[in-house]
Amino acid sequence: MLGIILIWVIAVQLGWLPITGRVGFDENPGEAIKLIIMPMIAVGAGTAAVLARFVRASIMETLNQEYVRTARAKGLRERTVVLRHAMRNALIPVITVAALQIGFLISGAVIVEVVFARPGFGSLIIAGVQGRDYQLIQGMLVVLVTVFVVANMLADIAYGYADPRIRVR
Amino acid sequence: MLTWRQQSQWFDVAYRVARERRGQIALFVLIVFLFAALLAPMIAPHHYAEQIRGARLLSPSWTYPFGTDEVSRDLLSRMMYGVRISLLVSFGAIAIGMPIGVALGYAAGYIGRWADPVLMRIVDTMLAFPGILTALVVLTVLGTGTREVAITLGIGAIPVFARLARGQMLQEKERDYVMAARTLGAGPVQIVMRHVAINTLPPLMIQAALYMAFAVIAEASLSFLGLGASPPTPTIGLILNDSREFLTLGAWGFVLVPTAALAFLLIALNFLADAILEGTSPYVRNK
Repeated sequence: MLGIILIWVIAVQLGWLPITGRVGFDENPGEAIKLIIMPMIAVGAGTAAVLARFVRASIMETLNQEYVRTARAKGLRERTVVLRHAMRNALIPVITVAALQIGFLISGAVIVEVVFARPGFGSLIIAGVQGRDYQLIQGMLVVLVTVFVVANMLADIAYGYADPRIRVR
Repeated sequence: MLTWRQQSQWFDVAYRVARERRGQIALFVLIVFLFAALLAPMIAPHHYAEQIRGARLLSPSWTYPFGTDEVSRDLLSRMMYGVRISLLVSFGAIAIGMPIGVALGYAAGYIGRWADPVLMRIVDTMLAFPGILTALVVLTVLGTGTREVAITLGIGAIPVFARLARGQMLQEKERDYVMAARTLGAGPVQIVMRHVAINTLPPLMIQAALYMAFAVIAEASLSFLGLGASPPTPTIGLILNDSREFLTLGAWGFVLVPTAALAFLLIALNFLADAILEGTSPYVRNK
């Protein structure tokens, strides 16, 4: 919804960016990037809202831990306290959700794909289901499973960086 | 002698939720919804399928507090009946998906070793199936209907909760208090349920609130495909779907009512999640 309002303001009212159309990146890189900005905002706005809720819940919890008080007592700037000391420990659920979102966005951006007339993975899989095109669905599922497994594997690795106590084997 | 609040940490959480401002607002809104749903046959002014001659697409008025829809039915009555199915589906989905998903996640995270890769690859595969495809498969097996839709959406919730619970468990199980509990001879079930569970709640609660709102919408899409409630049975999602094309035709009441109901429900659930977080965690509470 926010995406659609943004599109209306930026593209229709202000005319800053083109809405639909497609130019190959190799033909005209500048134009191709301009065309992709609006769909990216539309897809990203929803994800941002979901992530914000998780970050809030998790950062609230860490900000009252003793080590944050210690960091404050050392006289560190608030920015350093939040970004270096509190954030790393608040990241675990955020990493999990972000990894899940990567997967969902690949197959789940159907509405945005339709609105911007850029047929992609989401539209294709719907078409496959509607047309009972089993080979197409099978093939797409293999790709999707791979994306999910890799995204979640990266999340597992990222856990270790955010909180070195975690060891996933 | 323990007071009732000290008997279980969960009693204490419930008490704190009821004492907190946002918790009170959330409980109030949910109770209003619940009353409307439970008492619909008794207090609704009309039957949900009753068409009133000459009352098409009316704006809210004293006679029809929420206005009427495109085939002259009283929107207040339809909303009251609609809330029943929507609440049933969203709470049912969470009641099925959350315990199973969280249990899987705890098991994978706490046991580790062989259990982690095995369970998580199963979960990854479940995740990768697009929601609508899973729904179609499950509904083909179970048959169609409201209860089946709730089960389907519950199954859809499992992998997400499993992932979140596992991530939390991985972080919590390395904490000193877990080591302390183990040293004192607590078994794995006791450690997880009594000591760790309450500390892994924040992201799970947020996810539950978000998923319940998603379930209301998803139920509408499934019903739209003819897999859930069928017309003239109302649900919030279906009324929302019906009203969409009238947005530009000036029937603002018709569009506003289901949207506002969904928004209130979502806000109440998020407030409830926040209040529970504050009830469970002394770290959040002291702010």
